[in-house]
Amino acid sequence: MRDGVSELERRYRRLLALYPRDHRRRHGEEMLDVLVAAAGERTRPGARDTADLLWGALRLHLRRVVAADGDVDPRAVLAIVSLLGPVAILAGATTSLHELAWWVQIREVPPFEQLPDAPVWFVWLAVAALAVLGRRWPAAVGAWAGTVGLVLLATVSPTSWQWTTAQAGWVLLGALTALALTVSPGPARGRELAGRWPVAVMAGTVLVFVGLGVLGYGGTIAGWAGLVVLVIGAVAAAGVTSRNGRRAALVLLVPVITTVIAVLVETTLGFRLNESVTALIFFGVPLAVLLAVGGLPRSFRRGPDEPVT
Amino acid sequence: MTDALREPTFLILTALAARPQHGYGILRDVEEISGGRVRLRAGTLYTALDRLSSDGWVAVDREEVVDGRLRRYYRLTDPGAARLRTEVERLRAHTRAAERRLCARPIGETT
Repeated sequence: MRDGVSELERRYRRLLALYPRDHRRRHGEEMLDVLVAAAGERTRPGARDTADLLWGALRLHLRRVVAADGDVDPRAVLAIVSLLGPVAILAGATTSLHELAWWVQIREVPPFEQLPDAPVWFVWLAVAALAVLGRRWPAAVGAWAGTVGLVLLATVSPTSWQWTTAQAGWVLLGALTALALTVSPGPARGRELAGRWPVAVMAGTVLVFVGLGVLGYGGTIAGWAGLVVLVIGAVAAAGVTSRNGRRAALVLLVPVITTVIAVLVETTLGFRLNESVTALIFFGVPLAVLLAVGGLPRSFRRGPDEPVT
Repeated sequence: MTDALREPTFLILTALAARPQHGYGILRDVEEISGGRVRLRAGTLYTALDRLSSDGWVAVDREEVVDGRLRRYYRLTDPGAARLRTEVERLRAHTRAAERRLCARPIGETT
């Protein structure tokens, strides 16, 4: 009988592991108690119980994503983004900086058509300075101007194809940063909520990313190393120990998502997608990931007698 | 205009109206209140409790440890009681209207 109960508990714990972490922490043990009490002599969860638990887990995850409750405060997430987004987005200038370095190397002034995005990055540099100094509203105005610039790059510039594929993440990050600067409590609050030395960590990360991108331009190892640096740096800067920080890092890493999508599309498809489908993939999928991944449960590796937290 | 409560919500609030109850107690009470017609399951119950707590209609009353297991009792809050009362009034008004219409129905009319 005891073995039967343990097996039942073990199976219920596996199902409960699909619930959001904060819900498991609050209700995991008592739900287990109720489930076992209601199970009678059963040794494994019934089909209806299983379906009910799965449906409940899905609803709670959706509630946390859509209503953004469950220990995640969307204003806190956006406050962190308002501080770190303007710094993180500067990593998007890597390709232009490599181009600029090439022209400097041959001691010539680059023609404008080779660096059509240069003015946009100067705007974002100013936005980063304003955000770090806590000048929230001028930074917000600049961020919207910078976002318009990125949208123009993605629509009318000679290199628009880049900004609707792998580089689409920078356009999205620009828009999300502008939104964060406008509606969140602002960079000053973000500094209180983020990890230790957030601006220094994010700025250092961007410098390493740009360095790898410029010096190892086109190289596979340098490319992937840059992405790894960006992931680690963004998570560390935003705050790895808080849910708000990790959610903010997810927003900051949208360009990594679009880069990975570009690699997947390039390696799996043998034909060119039309523009509408491309835009849907490179702008729609990251937004869907932002909504979905933030609510997924962490992996479950726990013995049957450990608490459901 | 307040939206009507869904049946599981109505039954959970009703189960808590008279006294605080723990999760399993609520499940059993809901079944009894509904004459065995509604059998809530744990997933549905705790999804509802999560929302009702967020809305401030239900709160944790106390916690006990029974046979080494945590047992948490929930109670109806004042806003929860007010919301349940509003729903009862709404249902009562509908019931009265339905009774009046049925009484006005010509005797022997079958179609």
